[in-house]
Amino acid sequence: VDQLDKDLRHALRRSTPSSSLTGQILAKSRLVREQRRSLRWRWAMPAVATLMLGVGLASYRAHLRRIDGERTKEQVMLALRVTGSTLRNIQNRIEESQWQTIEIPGK
Amino acid sequence: MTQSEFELIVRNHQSMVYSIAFNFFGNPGLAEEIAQDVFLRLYEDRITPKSEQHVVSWLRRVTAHRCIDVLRHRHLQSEVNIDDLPEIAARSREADPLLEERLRRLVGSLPAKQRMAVILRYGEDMDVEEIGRMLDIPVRTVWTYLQRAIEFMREKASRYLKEEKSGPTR
Repeated sequence: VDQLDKDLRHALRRSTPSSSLTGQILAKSRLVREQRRSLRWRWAMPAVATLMLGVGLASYRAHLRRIDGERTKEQVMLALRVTGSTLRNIQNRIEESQWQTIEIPGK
Repeated sequence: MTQSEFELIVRNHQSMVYSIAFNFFGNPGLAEEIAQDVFLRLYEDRITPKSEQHVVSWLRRVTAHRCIDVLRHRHLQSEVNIDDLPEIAARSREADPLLEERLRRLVGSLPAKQRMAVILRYGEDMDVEEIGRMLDIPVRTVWTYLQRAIEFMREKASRYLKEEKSGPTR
């Protein structure tokens, strides 16, 4: 058994791989590193696109709100103008009717 | 782990990883394939080596399990015809490549875990507790595997010793 033990140890001793093994492993590890980098960018691109879309949408909504506000403001101004001119007309008619009232006793 | 640290680990331990796989399969191409897989896993998993012993232990463990998995998935079985092998007793034991080849093929004919236990015990000089932890089996099972393997090889050796004494059979 002792001899078999020794023979086994000798038969199963370490052996040397081909000289190209180190190069192959390192080349594959570089490939893995490249893939990791490209994978990182693959995640970054949609994230940036989503962010830009969000910012664009938000500014578009702000723009729509501004347009709505201006339109409302114009409508209010128009309403004020119409009211002003109506009041002026009424005032003129009142004034005219007062003049007529004054002239009659003078005759 | 930096690229240079990884490179150093590959250079220092490729012989160990390759030898375990080579002794397990007896096939240099497959052994190199296994070695590449094991080192790439080390790189991909970004294992931070705590110590040299930690690296050695991790590499041995992953290599052992990878070899067993490959054997099971590829249904690789060493079909060793003992009669085709050179005889142990008929030759001088001093650095006999045929004797080594015969022993390697006998080891290669053992079942997967038993084979790995023998390789780790005699090739890597590990104690049975370590082998048990590495292969996730009880220490008693490791002892049983080793005893059975030795008995098997002793039986094969004695068979040829008897044949040698009684003269050639063929």
